[in-house]
Parts: sequence; structure tokens; C-alpha cells
Amino acid sequence: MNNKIFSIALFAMFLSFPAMSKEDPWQLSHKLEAQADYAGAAQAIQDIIKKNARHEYAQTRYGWLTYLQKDYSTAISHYKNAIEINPKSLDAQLGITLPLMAQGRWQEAAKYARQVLKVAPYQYYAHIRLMACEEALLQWNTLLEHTQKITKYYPTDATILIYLGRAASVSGNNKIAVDAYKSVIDRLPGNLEAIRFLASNNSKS
Amino acid sequence: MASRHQIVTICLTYLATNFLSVTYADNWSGYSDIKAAMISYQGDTTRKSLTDYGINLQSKYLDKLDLLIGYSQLKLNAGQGNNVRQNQFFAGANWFQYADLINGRVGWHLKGYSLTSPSSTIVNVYTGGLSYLNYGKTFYLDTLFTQSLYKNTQGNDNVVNQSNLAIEFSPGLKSSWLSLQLFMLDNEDDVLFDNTLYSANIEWTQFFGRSGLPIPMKLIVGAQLGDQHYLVLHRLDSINNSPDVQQTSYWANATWQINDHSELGLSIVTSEYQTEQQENYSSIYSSILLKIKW
Repeated sequence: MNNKIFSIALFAMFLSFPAMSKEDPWQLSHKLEAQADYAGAAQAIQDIIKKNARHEYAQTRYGWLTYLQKDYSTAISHYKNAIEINPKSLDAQLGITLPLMAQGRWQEAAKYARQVLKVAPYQYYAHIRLMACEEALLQWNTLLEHTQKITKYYPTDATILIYLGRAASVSGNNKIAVDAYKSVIDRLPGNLEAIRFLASNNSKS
Repeated sequence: MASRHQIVTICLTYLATNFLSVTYADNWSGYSDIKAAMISYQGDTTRKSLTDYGINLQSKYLDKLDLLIGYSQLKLNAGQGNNVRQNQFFAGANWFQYADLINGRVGWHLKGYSLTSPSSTIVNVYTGGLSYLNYGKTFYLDTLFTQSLYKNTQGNDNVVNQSNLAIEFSPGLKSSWLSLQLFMLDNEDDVLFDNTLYSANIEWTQFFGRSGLPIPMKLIVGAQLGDQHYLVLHRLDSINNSPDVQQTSYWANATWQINDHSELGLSIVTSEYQTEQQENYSSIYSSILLKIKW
């Protein structure tokens, strides 16, 4: 009798081994992402989306992982799903700007960045991505005003100062550009763009 | 059997309703182009000068769809107080799809022109084609097919088929752009000139880092290679319905960015022509264009 019980228990343990050994899909996905296996990381959570297409986090994460694979259209589609599930998601609205910008869809990316800024007026990444869009759309005066305003809130940030320098330079505000690029050098001493601009400006004056 | 006009109208209506129904007002932006141009002729016995005024409206739905309409009026001074007026209308649509597999944007283009003149020929032009622009915006390709239908007052019809291939790329860090447009014009009824003409427009664009007088935002210089007859230049919405062959042409254009919402462009073009009677004459075209974003 004891033998029979022992055999059944052993058989049950044997059957449960595959389940026990199967890694949690989230854990596996994060582990593979850390190893830069983005396709594997996305694959790991694909079943979760298949079972529940309204899983917000899975949709957002799948969008991110397909963006990393340069599968931009798929990324946009999944970020849109996430936004549809939760229209308040700033993560998804910020996330979708990346594949849109990668495809050169600057108007659309700017729209999502502005949507984030309506809710979170000083959200750093939304401002940076909107600045990239304004630059691509040659909206130099808008970019100049935008960067002048936001650099006051992020005074240590060199990226905003670089955008300020570019906008001021192109729109003919040379003094503002020089000040901005000097501030970039203080923060990033080796920044080539700032070094080149200041060198060419010195040679002209 | 639906006419070409009906097919173009149905396609444009389909594109418009398909997108308008699912969009929001803040997704739309638009441009107006206001143009004034003048041509003076040297050595032409039938033409002294020509003026052309026009407005084009472009409505953009994000980066996916452009809807275009335009109107221009041309007045030809034939000398001795004789003037000829000509009206040109056009409507078109560009629809863009993004394809990661080919790392770029595919554009579908459709345009229809109607050129009317009370005293001479009526011209209807239909154009359709495809384009490709890589995501990095350093390489562009398009192919367009155009059919121009000429109906003159005597009821004689003439059909000109035009095929275009444009290959364009940025040779250096996006600060310059080289464009080569190849044209094949096929006119079966052309008894005086060759039935098929091959030509090319080659154009160099230089972008300058900053805009403001006197430095423009961009400067374009270009030249025509080979004879052109009844050519349609889609980018300029220009239909050359002159019966004479355009043999050479050189042009320059400078564009200044006034502010984030407006641009000013100045162009000059010199061209030489040959008539059916083998007589030569030339023209100088100058134009001013104001682009306003709204």
C-alpha cells in the first residue's frame, strides 16, 4: 500500500516538474531584455496578450520591446492598444512617441507629447521629445521659446541647452546661442557640437 | 463605363471620407501657397509676356494624408492688345504608409488637373504613382504615370503619356540634396517632333544652417537635359501646354524661412524653345511664392 502511495506521489511530482521548471513569463522577459534579447523578451509575454488582449502592462511592454527590435509599426499598434485600455496612461503616450519619431512621423509624435504635457506640464521626457519634433519640423522660434522656458525648470540639463543653442543659432539669436553652448560645455566639457559652434563663432568674431 | 474624371473623384472621395470620419480636428494642419509669376519672351512672334497668379491649399492629417486643391489664372499677352486667359484647377491626395521591412515611408499619390481656356485647347491631366522615403530622410524614389488629354476647338484629341522616375539622395549629412528626375513623354499624334522624348531634370539643393537675410534656408539650382514637350511638372503643378518643344532650361530658387509659420521663395528660370517651323525663341520666368502654415 505504502509502495503504491509512494509511486503515485512520485508520478505526481514528475508531472509537476515541467510546471515548476517553467519560468515566470515576466521574470523571463525582463531577464532576456537585460541580455538584449528583445525578440525573446517579447516572445515570453506573447501568450499573456493572446490570453488577454486587454492586459495593459503586457501591451505597453510589448510595444517597448518591439520598438527595441525596430519593429516600429507593431510597437505603435501595441502602444495604441495600451492607450485604448487606459487613456490616462502617460507611459503609453510617452512610449508611442519613440516609434513614431523613429518613423519620422513628427506631427503625430508631437501630438502625443503635447497630450502628456496637458496632464503633466513639466514631464521631462515629453518636453525633450516635443523639442526633437519641433526641431525636425523646423519650428525654430517655437523651439527657442520652449527651451528657454523649460531650461529654467531643469537648469542642470545639457540636452535642453543643446536644443536651445540650435534654435537660437538657426533663428539668428547668436548671443543666446553662445551662452547656451557655453553652459553646455560647463555641463558636458567634451560636447563636440558646443565646442565646434563656439570655435566657429570665435573665428568669425 | 466610368470616365477617368469619375474614377479620380471616387478615389479622392473614398480617401477623404475614410480618414475624415475617424479623425479629430487637432490632428489637421494646413498650408497655403500664394504664387505670382511672370514670363517675358524674347524672339517669339506670338507671345510677349505672361502673368500667372495662383493659390494652393494643402490639408495634412498628421503624417498620413495630404489633401490638395489649387487654382491659378494665367494671362498671356500675345501683343497688339490680344490677351488669352487660362484657368487651371487641380485636386490631389497623398497617402502615406510606414513599412519597417523596407525602413521607410511609402506614399501613394493621385492628382487631377483641368486646364481650360475659352479660346483654345482644354487639357485634362491624371497622375498616379508611388514614392519611397527612408526613415532617415536621406534617400527618395518615386515613379509617376501621367496622361494628358488635349481637346482643341476643332474636336481633335491628342493624348500624351508621361512616365517619371525620380531618384534623390542626400550626399552629405543632410546639408545637401541631389535630385535626378527622368521623363519619358510619349505622344503618338506628334507628327512634327519625335513621338517619344526622353529628358531629365537634375537639381542640387543646399541647406544652410541658419535662415535670415541675405542667407536663405535653402538654395536650389537645376538644369534640364533633353527635349521636353507637353511636360507636366507635378511638384510645381505646372502643365506646359505650349505646342513648342522646350530644349533647354536652367533654374535657381531661394527660400527664406520668415518664421515658424511662413516661408518666402523666389525663383528664376531661363528656357529655350523651338517651334514647329524650326524657329527658336527664349523666355525668362520669375516668381515669388509665399507659404503660410495654418
